[in-house]
Amino acid sequence: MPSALTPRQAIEAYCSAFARRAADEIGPLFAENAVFDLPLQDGRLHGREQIMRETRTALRGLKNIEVVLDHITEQGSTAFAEGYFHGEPIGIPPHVDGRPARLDFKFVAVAVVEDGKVTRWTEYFDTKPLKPREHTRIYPITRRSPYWQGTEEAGVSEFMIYNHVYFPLVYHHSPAEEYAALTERVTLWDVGCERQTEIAGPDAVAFASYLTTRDLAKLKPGDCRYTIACDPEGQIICDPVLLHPKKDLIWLSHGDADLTLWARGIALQGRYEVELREPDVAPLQIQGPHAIEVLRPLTEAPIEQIGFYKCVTTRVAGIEAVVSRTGWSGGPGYEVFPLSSHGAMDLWQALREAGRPFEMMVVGPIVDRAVEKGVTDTAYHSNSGMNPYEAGHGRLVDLDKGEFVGRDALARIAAEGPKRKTVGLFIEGDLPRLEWYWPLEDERGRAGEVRWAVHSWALDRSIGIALVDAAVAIGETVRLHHPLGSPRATVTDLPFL
Amino acid sequence: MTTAPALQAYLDAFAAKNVEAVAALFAEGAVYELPLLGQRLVGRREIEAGLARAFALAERCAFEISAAQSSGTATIAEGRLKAKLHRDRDPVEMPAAIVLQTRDGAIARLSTYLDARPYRLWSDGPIFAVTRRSRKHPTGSIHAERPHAPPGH
Repeated sequence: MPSALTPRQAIEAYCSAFARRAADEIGPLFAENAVFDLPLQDGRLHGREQIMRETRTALRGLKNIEVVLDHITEQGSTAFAEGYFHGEPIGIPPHVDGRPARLDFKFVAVAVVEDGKVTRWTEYFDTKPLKPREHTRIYPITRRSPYWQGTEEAGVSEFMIYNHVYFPLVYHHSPAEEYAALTERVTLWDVGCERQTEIAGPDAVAFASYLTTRDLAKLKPGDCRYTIACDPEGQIICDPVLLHPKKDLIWLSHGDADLTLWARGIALQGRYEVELREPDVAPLQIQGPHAIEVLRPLTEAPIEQIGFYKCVTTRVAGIEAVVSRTGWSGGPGYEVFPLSSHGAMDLWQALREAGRPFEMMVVGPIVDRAVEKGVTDTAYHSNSGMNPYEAGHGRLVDLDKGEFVGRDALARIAAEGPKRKTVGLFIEGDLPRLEWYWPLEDERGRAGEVRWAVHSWALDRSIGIALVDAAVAIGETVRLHHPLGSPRATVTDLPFL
Repeated sequence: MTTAPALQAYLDAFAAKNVEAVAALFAEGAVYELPLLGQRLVGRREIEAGLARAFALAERCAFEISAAQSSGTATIAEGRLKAKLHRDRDPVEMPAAIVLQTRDGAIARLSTYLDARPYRLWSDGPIFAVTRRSRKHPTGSIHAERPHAPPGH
């Protein structure tokens, strides 16, 4: 590569290196203090370091890139070019009907070169395919989170309905950008749909113990537990995080199941002195390596003293809240549970402000990362139909702790041995979207079901989590059937990382 | 006419909303497109009718060019489009790049790179795509048509 580029050469070298995903060749093209302008995205990157960070993330998320330059002009220190870009995004599975995911657009690029280095790069291209402005139609039968306005402003485009609440899942970022934000910086999630089953009263811990599978004898105020609620047949209703913010108060922060209604029905037996309700508590997750730095200046209690799976009642940005060192990222992070949704948007704004120096990104739960870490979520009406032993959660069942819902069934299952088990899969090829569970079978025809399937950014391959026959062994090959074909997969242990 | 004067002539005629003057700059089979919005007009007659329709939406509209360069028959420019649409209370302003190619002194292709996102209400519908009726009656009747397609069209 010539040491002093002309503007025309800079455009040609940049496009060529981009098409070959050669990030290392792009860095030296830019001056230390270069700016990278995306006028149609209202975006501007400052300095080579930031330009290269975003370039690496973009290249990580694209394959089969083609850049064709139709016209280049050059005068003095500036060159203009018109061209055509084509690429296929990684981590956005193709449509279920087999149409490939693709990103293509025409663009105009401008390069200004001083002393042989690019000092300004400007690119005009449409981001609509990447960043749809529309969102799913919304109906008033489903509740909104108190952070609704914040997620709208952050550009939410798709929701899931979870605990009868709209759950923002998709924003205007590529999967590669979101994964980088979670693993390298910090992310903010509206998980207001994570509802709390509040158990209050002198028998709160005893009632929670009756409702869930883990032994709570050693539970102290300030403790949290990952636990399971089962039905009388031992099937998982949900796998909540139990919080014990103070004496005589338990929250089961639960997944998509009507746990509070279930608990209220059980409380009607009158054997426990408890009051059951779903409080107006809508949590946020702050996940990623800089989560602690975002929360530190806002949180009254010393954030360093909150241990893993511990919680504290304090103030965050002046708003009364429970802060716990928990979350769904499988990595460092916290959950903030404001004690009322009054002021929820103030909390949101304060967190966004505190996150600004760390380029905090508003995201939905990042399933790609969760699956890598073996973190899942079990919902009674969809991906349950299994008991804790089959889910790989046998360690969370304490049959000796005394009476609890599902104990007899679980004792029987434990004695007989579970019929199925949860395993990891390395799946060949790219994956379509998982819109429903994919059947699989091993060489002897033993059946199973793929329940999670994602692109692993850390391993650069397709991975999944499946419920299979208990006799299927680690290392065995299975064949699964998804809408685009029947690839093979190798059974492996969980977690992947 | 060389390419740079062609750009200036286009910008002047556009700012004057002078559809005849714009059309006169184009070759018979020219292409006028908004590549990022997926809209294009083909041929001088379609360009004239389409731009008449677009100009009818606007109280005023003009490009402000910050830099432009030519090489051979191609000219590339960057700048901003400033417009005040009849239906809007406030003017809009957006970044834009223009690529123009000439053949025998006439514009053979003009591409305007505008973003689709911030102005969806404007760009969702055809900005200058001609209707069946205006195809049959390429002059005169166009200005009388409603500037907006009804919802659902």
